[in-house]
Amino acid sequence: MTKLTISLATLALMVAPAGVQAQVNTNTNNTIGVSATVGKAFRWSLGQDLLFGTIAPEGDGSTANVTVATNQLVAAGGRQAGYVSLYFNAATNVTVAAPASLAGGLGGTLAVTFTCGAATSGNGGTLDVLASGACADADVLSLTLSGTGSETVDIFFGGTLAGADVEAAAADTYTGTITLTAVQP
Amino acid sequence: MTARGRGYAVLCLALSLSYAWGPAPLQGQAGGGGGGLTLSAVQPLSYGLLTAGDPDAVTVDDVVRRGELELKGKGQMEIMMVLPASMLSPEGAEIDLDFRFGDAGLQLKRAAGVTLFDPTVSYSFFLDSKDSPARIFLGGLASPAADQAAGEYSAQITVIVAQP
Repeated sequence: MTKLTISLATLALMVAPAGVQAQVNTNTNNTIGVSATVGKAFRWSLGQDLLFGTIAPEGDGSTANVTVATNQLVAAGGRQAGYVSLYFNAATNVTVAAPASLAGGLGGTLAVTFTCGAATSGNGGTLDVLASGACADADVLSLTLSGTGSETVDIFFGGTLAGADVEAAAADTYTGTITLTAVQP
Repeated sequence: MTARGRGYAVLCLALSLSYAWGPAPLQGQAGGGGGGLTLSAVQPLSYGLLTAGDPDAVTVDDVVRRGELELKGKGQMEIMMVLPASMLSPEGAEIDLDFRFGDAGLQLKRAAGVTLFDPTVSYSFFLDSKDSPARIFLGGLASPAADQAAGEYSAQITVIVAQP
């Protein structure tokens, strides 16, 4: 009888783990991805034109070069740097198509050279994105995002009319167009 | 130990092993698990092309873009989800995500409709064997910022199904 009691106790002990096993939770899990693509974009807006103002030739070979710096948003004699604002949310290459001369209404031309640079929009012409430099036809400004968000930069244009060319030109209004093409590779 | 005593001991061992190894799988089946519970990813939650500053919601009835998983098993179950607060780009930019009631759905095999629930809290239901596999759908709102950088954004959602 004593041996039977011990055996039942053993049975009870050995049954217990089975009962615990039946209470173990059953779990399963899996993951799914979430994804999105934000498309590349850019948007232009014209700030102001580049103006050399009214120039009075000396007529004796002493006419000075007429220069508008890229950060001269307002200058004497009706001069001003030109700029456009460019919003972009991915690296952008801006190609400049600049004329070698301005065209007069009477058919004459006036040689011109340009400078350009870029700055964070609203920075008042302080060039903190690209240093100002020569800006010839087919030059490319490479703009990259400095942070993790989109940006807007102002691209400024200045230029120079040589004094000798001014003296040689007929009195007229001379104009030209700088064309900018943005490509996001 | 006598021969009778050894007999008791062997009998007890045999009974114990039989109970420990035999009934457990049967109890597992009755509980609906027992290794028969599987969760498979069918398709990711894909927002596709987003425009900066333009929030976009994927609904559970958007068959192309919704996330989808297949659940096989039977019995009482509870779904829990580990939801990301945002998607990330390789450069570290983020797009906020928002999930709320109606952004998750459960469709039993024989049911015509989808039962909506809130993926931010656990959801309990009973899956009958005739309704297996069930489908779990997931949508949500993505809110790219106005200055959102272009690029690929991603995150992961972990779905956990537990049986009590």
